[in-house]
Amino acid sequence: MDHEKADVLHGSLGLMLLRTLDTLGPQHGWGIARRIEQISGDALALNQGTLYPSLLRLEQMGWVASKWGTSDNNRRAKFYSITRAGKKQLAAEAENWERISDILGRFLKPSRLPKPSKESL
Amino acid sequence: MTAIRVFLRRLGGLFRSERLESDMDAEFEFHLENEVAENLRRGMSPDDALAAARRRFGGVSQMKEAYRDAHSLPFLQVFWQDLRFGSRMLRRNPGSSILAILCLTIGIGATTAVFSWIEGVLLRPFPGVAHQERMMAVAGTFRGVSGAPGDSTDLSWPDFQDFERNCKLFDAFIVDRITGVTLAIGDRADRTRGSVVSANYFDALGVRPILGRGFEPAEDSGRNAHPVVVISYQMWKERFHGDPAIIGRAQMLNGMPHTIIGVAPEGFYGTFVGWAMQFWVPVSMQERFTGGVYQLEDRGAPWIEGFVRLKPGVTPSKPRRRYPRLRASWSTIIRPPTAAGARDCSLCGRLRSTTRAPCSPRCLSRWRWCASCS
Repeated sequence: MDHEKADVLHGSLGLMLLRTLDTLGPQHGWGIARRIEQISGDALALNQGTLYPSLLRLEQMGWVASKWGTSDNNRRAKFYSITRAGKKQLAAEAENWERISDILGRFLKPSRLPKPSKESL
Repeated sequence: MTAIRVFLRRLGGLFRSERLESDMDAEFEFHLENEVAENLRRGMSPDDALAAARRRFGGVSQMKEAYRDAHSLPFLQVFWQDLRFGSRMLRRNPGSSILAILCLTIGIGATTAVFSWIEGVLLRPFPGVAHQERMMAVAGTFRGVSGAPGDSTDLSWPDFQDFERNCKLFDAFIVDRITGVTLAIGDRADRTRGSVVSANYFDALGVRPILGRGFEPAEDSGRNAHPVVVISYQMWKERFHGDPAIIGRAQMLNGMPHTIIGVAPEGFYGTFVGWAMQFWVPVSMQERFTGGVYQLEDRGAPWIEGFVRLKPGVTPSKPRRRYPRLRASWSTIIRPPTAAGARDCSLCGRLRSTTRAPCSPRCLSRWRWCASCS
């Protein structure tokens, strides 16, 4: 395993999938995988196969719908699309994620931490 | 809501596993083909292109396993597999399997039986009786005689009447004396158990006959003057075939025709712990049902068991201190009905009547062995 690449944080893959589907519209698994790799600039250590159980879970949650259709190269393929509930979930999770990364960012960049004073300790 | 939906979908997934497999294969194959084609475009050799695609995908069979787990309820499938494995193992060793099953059967049966006895004898000794947690048994002892439980005696009828008039701590005071008759209906004759009871019996217990009536106060008095009988639901159903026109019919009991005046509700078996009474006659018929000696006016003839229901808020210890002194030579004991020494045999009767099993100590210890096995 390439140590330079970041492991996908627990729970974040679903968010990536929802976001991708929101941007691309209906898409098959391979297309989604390509898109995620493109955006992350190949910096993610992600087995493409793990998308499928994740997509299935999102579908069970009612955030993603799937339908068999025909691909560009005229093959039978399963297409995934985001549902209305999925869009809502995406908005909520994106906001949550930003808040968390903002908080973490403050911790990890010490220069931005307010200097501890004796009174506050 | 979401959790329920996910659960239902996964549950549905259990029954669509074949479709899942073919869909999953098609989807994964499509993915790999695209990836291979992409790799070929980048100039890889066909072999390298396939290997790279598989590497990228991350182990096709692992991914399939993960997908199957997400599709349905793995624990149910595992449970099913365990069940099948278990039954295979049982079949392989029939001897020890039969032994284990036998132990479990007897053990579970015995444990259940014990708990139903506890329920029946200790917690709800009198099915169908209102407020039975306040029911107590009454007995007399001779003063000055050391108070071993066996020394207590039954009450006499004049005692009962005094008690009922004088004691204000009770809601109800009834008496009950077990008796038996040979009941001949049609060409079938059976020994049948019943009770001689005070006329207030059904009213005081809150038991309403489903047909006809209970006893009236006047039916307490008059020597053999009231040949009337209330029969149990069971007797009505089994011996009279649930005849709706049963009320008013005459039935021979101990050689005297008795008018059937009522049918007790289903599930009421009287107040003798452990026995199911089949009929009730009023106290005035005492002479006919308890050995042919008239005892209703004899204070020295203790022949009935007394029961009281304490008024709400009265504790059992209170009436023990404040019972009315009936006679100079007597004390009166009030105690929980099932704790009475005289009722040990009725407990045994309960064991027999509910399970038809012997209850000798040796048998019980064998049962206990099986119970601890299970």
